Order: sequence, then structure tokens, then C-alpha cells
Amino acid sequence: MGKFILKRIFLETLPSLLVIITVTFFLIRLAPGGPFSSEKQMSAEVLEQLNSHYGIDKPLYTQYFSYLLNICKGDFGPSFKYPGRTVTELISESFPVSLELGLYALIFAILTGILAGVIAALKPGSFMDYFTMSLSMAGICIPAFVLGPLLVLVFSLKFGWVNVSGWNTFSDRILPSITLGMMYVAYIARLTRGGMLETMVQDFIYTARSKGLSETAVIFKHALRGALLPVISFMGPAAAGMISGSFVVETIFSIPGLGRFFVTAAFNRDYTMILGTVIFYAIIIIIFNTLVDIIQTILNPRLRNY
Amino acid sequence: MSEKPQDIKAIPSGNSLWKEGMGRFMHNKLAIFGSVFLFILVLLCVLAPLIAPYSYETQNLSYGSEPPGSSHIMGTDPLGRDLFTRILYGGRVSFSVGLCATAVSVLIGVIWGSFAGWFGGKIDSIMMRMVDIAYAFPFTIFVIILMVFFERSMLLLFAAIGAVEWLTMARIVRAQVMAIKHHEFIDAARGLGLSTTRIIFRHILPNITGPVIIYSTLTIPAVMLLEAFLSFLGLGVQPPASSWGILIREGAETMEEYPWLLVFPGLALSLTLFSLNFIGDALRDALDPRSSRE
Amino acid sequence: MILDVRNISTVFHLRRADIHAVKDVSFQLFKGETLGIVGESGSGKTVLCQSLLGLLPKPPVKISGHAYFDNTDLLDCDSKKLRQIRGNQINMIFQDPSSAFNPYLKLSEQLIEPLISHGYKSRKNALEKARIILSETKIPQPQKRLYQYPHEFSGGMLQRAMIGMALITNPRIVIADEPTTALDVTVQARILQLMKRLQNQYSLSIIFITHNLGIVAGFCDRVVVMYAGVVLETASTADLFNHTAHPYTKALIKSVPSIDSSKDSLYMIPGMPPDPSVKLSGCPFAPRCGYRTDKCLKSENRLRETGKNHFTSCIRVLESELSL
Repeated sequence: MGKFILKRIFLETLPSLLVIITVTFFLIRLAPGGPFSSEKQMSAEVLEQLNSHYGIDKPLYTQYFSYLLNICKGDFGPSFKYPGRTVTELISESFPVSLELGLYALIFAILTGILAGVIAALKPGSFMDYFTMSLSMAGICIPAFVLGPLLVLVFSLKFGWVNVSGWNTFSDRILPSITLGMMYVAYIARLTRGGMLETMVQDFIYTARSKGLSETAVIFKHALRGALLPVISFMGPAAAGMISGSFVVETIFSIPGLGRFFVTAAFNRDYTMILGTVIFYAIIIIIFNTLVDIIQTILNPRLRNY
Repeated sequence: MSEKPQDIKAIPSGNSLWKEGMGRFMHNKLAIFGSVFLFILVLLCVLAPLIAPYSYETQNLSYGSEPPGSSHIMGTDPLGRDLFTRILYGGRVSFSVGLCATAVSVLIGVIWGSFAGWFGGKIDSIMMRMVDIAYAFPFTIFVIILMVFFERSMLLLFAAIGAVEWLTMARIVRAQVMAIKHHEFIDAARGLGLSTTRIIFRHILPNITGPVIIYSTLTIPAVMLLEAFLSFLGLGVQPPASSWGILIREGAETMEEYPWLLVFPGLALSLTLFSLNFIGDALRDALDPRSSRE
Repeated sequence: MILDVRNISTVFHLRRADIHAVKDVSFQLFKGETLGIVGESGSGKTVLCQSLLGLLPKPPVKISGHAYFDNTDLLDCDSKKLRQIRGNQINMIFQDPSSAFNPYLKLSEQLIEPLISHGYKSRKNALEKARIILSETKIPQPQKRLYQYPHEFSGGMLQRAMIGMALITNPRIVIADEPTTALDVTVQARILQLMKRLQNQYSLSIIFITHNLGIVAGFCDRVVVMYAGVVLETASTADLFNHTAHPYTKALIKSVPSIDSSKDSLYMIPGMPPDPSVKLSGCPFAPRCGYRTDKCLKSENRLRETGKNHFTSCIRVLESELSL
């Protein structure tokens, strides 16, 4: 197992990471204007000083390699927009918030999605089937930036059950988590339903019934395992999507998470912050994908190499 | 298990795959409803210059922020612009972005996938490995960076969005090409001495149109969603042009006092996405013999 | 008599047609015997056993008749009671062991399931029982094999494991649905040997479904011959081969290729089995029968005694017009 992980890291992870870093770095640098072009008019000397202070006046490839070197030391550089604070600081402050949000959203999506999928699969073509699938379809078709404000409109403004925004009390977590998770409820429900339909007609389900097992045992012990495999593989792209989803949700609900920081950084042309965030996200996704692969191997014994 | 109940079937009558598929499609009520709705909506948007009650620019402050009423069926925004008109014009933008960006992604995806699928071997490994890497990473981030740093033109928007969505199409096309490549009728065509180009165009491409159509139909809503997302953040379509994404953002900003400004554009976008997804699903169920709706 | 099946009929009410898979079938199973059910594909032999154990979905399927086991009518009891019997006292063995096992679970889990779900309390004891049964079925290194996954077994070994799984609850009846069809001939013989030994050891009654008359000859005590959902002949194995009482049986025996025969071509019964969605009158085999007469198509098809414990439905044999 350890060999498998090491192989993954060196053959796939690091090259991918390098590609992403390089592409992002040069993409940003290639753009017209520097990090300070959106600032108000400033004298040429001040501009020059700032540029040299941040090392922007050096040739591009020099900047690139010194940046790589710094990353290996764990230094993502200072933020251009928040003087005196480093990117690492900002990320480590805001990421835990996004992580919490993402976790809640994921749990919500998984529980709701699997339940909906199983219910739909038990009676294909029935009213329950169409109903649960349409409902979860709402997750895909009502985008977060529509659903979020709508939920706030109804539950905060009309009913007053929860706050409009913020991230202080526990109840503040509810609406954002649902908004972020809704999109995935649909996919997970569909995957579960499909997986269940495929699994339920397999021979070993028949064997399980003939052994006298109750229908509940047949569904949950035998069918669900195989049916959930596609859901697990979906978790990889899902994590990626949650990241982009967080931009919108954190903006709408004023949540001090990394997503909101990223959007602000992008608008402010905060080079180091953007790069740092992108790299950080890339690492997260890669770790997540590797985890998903490992889990898949555990759950599906046929994937293991002997 | 020699005779499971499912095995006992009556002999099916001879129907072409397309005819059977259309039959199944017609049975799907949601898809029919979606198709009708979409048709009407698109028609309205296309005819907007002719039928819109007001010009979309007209700002009449005396009518500012009116709730839906007789003269403005969907109300007005704070600047007095008629919401219904704005939605129609916004729809034109949203739909055209949807179609163009989808066309871009379909083009890229089909070419990439056919190449990889046809040549196989090392070329295929490299090409699909790139797809895998890209798949795992949210292109959205790159699109945001692109839109922020470079001039926000419509062209860039189309290209950027299209670049995000081509991955799935590439995978599907590659899978199809690979499957068909090994079919006997291709060997037969080769045996008859047909050139590669001829084989590709007359035999392979027609056989992949099915999945391509299906996934194009499913790509359009994804693309429209992405455009709305970008516009919501301020990175997509730029004022004075307007799209549903922009309308939704403006609506969200003032939703406390003027909820209709959020609800109507939101509804328009959501119902469109619903319809497109239902249609795409129904097409997939209809044309794929191994339908999961058994 | 351990199982008394009377007038079972199974109909599938499908959208396009009603399929009569089993029509008015009766037979008995006695303690300790091996009863063979023989027939081609589509004869209804598998559906018959599925009907007995309640494994067919009730809405499209309608079952009528009685099946008495231990003072219970299997076809007329609530599903909970049926579940207690199924997998516990009447167990099944399937044709393809590689698809019959859940690929995602270890063998141990699947082996102890019949015990645990029927009220066995101690998991530890159940696992021990599973290990013992694996060694009984002559699987080498049972302790190690117990914790492996189905895809790590060969076909023959997996079938042994399936047999073990069917025996772990000490059932009274085992229904084996073509258990050796998917195996190599050499493995077949050993599996049959194993089953015979275990049958003696555990005093089992076996219902053996097959289309292979060769196996029937060597393995079964009595035989039921089915065709198109109907029983055509019931007899002891010896009587079936030596005093055949139905043209269909005769044709079946004739089609078994023999090394001694000097013929160049194989004998095939001409024609095809009838469409199960069409209700027939008279003898279902008549259209293909070389001995048919007009009355074969008209008169009611019923099993009647023609010798000691030997039943046939052929009207001509019964009326002594025909001797085979």
C-alpha cells in the first residue's frame, strides 16, 4: 500500500502540481498591467520602489525559480494587498472556515442524495422515482447564487429563523451548507439510483434473498456496497466543484473563508495570494483524489493488486 | 439460473433504434414539457426586439421599483427599467453564450476524443492523462483568473467557458470511437480498401452522433450556468449588456425590498436549466439501449 | 414424505402477454432421496423451484397450488414464516458460483449470513462453523480461504463453498439448480461425489435440477421430467431408463451421445418447444412427437399411474397403445 502511495505521489501528483503552478504563474504574469495597475495614480518612483520591493522588476524566469524555491521552504510570499501579512497566514486563517463549510455541505449532500437515490431505485418508474429525482434535479438547476438568496429571502427575511449572513452561531451554518450541498444532492442521488438499479439485478442479490435475508438486509448489506462505488469516484470531482461553489456561497453569506479571499484577491490582482490559493487548492484536490482512490480500493476488493 | 423471469420475453418487432428511441422520448412527460417550455422561451427571446413592451434601456425613474403589475408584468428595477424586457434581452445573451460556448467545447472535445480514440496507444495515454489532470482541477479557477486579468470580451468568455466543458465530451467521444474502431464493419471497410478519412467520416462519425447530441444537450445548461456564475461575480458579460446572471446579482442585492427582481430572473434561469436537463436525460434514456429506467 | 407439491401453477402477467411458466405440476420429495427434475431450457424447472421458495415478485407473478412442508403450505403462508424456512431449512445452490457470490464481501461474511439472519447468536461460533463446513467440502486451507474474496477462488472451489453455504444451517432440503453445468467435466464428477457424501452425512433430501440425463442416471433416485411447464413423466431412475413411459423421455435418452454408437450425426428432437404465452390444449409435446395421434392434441393432459410409482401423461402409453 505504501509503495502504491509513493508511486502516486511521484508519477502523478508532483508533475500535475508543477504544471498547475507553472501555468498559473505565467498566466498571471503575462496579463497586461502589473499588480498595482488598478491602484490610484502614483508617481513613477513609488511604483518603482514597490516593484523592486516585491521583486517584480526582475526577469520573469528568475521570479519563477525563486518562487518555486520559496514554496519548497513553505513560503508563499507576502500578500500584495494586505501589507505586512503573508499569504500563508491568510490561507491558514481562512481555510478552516471553508473546510468546515465544505464538510457540512458534503455530509448533507451524501445523506440526502443516497437516501433519495435508494428510495427512487426501489420502485423505478413510479411517482416516488420521478418525484425524488426531480427534487434533487433542483440542486443542479437552481444554482447556488439563486438558491442562496432565495433561502435567505424565505428563512431569514420572511420567517426570521436564522440570520441573514455571518458565521458566528451554529444556525449560521445551516443555509450556506444546504446551498453549497444542494448541487451535489442531485448527482449523488442519480449515481446512487443508477448504481442500485444495476446492482439489484445481479445474481448475488438473488442468492442473498434465497438465503432468507430480509429485504432491508439485502438492500443495505449487499446492494448498497456495489451501488455506492460510482458515488465514491464522484467524490473527486465533487471536491473540485465544492471549491468553486464556495466562492459564491461565501460571498453571499459573508463567510470569511478562503473562497471569498480568492475572489477578492483575483479582483485586486494580488499575485501572491492568487498563486498561493491556487496551489493550495490544487494540493487539497490531489490529496482528496488520492484518498478517494484508496477508499475505492478498500471497498472494491477486485481493484487490489496481488 | 437458467430461466430467470426476466429472460422470458416476447419477440420484439423490428424497429430502428432511432424510431424506438423517439417513442421512448415521447413517453417522458417531463421531457415533453421541457421541450415545449424551452421552445416558447427561446422564441420569445429571439423575437424580443419585436415584442418587448419597452426598450431595455429606457429608464423611467417615476416607475422605479414597482412590483409586478398591469403595465409591467414582472415589475421594474430601481432605475425604472421593465424587468420582463430585461429578462427577454438577457435571455438572448445567455442563450447565445450557451450555444456558442457549447459549440466550442463540442468541437474541442470531439476532435480531442476522436484523435485519442482512433490512434490509441501512447498518443491516447498522453491525451487522456491530460484530460484526467484537468478533470481533477476546477477550471473555474483558471477561468476566473483569465477573466480578471485579460480584457473582458465576449470572445474570451466563449473560449474560456468552452474550455471548461470539453473534458466530458472528449472522454465520451474517445470511448465511442474506441468501441467502434474494433467493430467488425470497420475491419470490413478496411478490407475493402477504404481510406482512413473515408472510414472516419462515413462510418465512425455517424455512429458517435448519438452520444454527442445527448451530451451537447447536457453541456448547454452547464455552460449557461457557468456564464451566469461568472456574470454574478462580475466577470462575465459586462454592462450595458445584460444576462440572467447579472440580473440575478442585481436582484440578490436588493432582494430584501424588491424580491421580484430576484425571483423572476432566477425562475427563468432555473426553468431553462430544468428543461434542458430533462431533455438531455430523456434523450440519453431514449437512445441508449441499456436504459437505466427499466 | 418431506415435501408435497400439489397442482402448482405459475403465471407471469407481463405487459405483452401472460406467460404460463408452470402448469399444474405435482410431485413429492421423500426423506433422504435425490429427486431429479429434468427438462430443456424453458421447461419451467427453475421457475418451479423459485415459486416454491417465494423468490418471484408477486405483482407480475401469480402462483396457485400448494406445497406442504412440515405442516406449512409454502404457497399460503406469510412472508416472514417463509423467510424462516428459506435459507434455513430449504436452501438453494446455484449454477454459476462466480456470480452468485457478492464480490465485495469476504466469504466469511456470506457464509455465516444464513446462520445469523435466522437467529444464530454467536458470531464467533458461526465463523467456526463456517470454517468447519469449508473443510467438509474439502477446500484446502479453510482458515485462510474463509477470509478471502470470491474472485480469489477457482470455479470448482467456489462451488464447493456454495455447497457449504447451503449446508451450514443443516437444512432438510437442498435445491440444486444445475450446480455442475458451469464446471469442467472432471470437476463436475468430484462435486457430485462431494454432494453424495454430504447427503449421507447430513441426511439431506436433494432436488437436483438438470438437463443432463447422464448425471441423472448416476446421481438421482427418482426423476421428474418436465416440458413446457408440465410434468410428462415421474419415475424411479431405473424405471425411467428401462421402462420409459413417455415419447419425450425416450427422445431425451436417445439424444445423449454415446461413445459406443456408430452413428455419424447426433440425434436431435425435431421442432421447437412451444411459446409459453400461448395456452395449449392436450399434450404439449404432441406437435413434435413421432407417435402422435389426433387424440393427443385433444384430450386433457394428466399424470396417471402406469406402473408401481411410475406416472406418465402420455395418453397412448396409458391406454396401452404404445410401448417404448
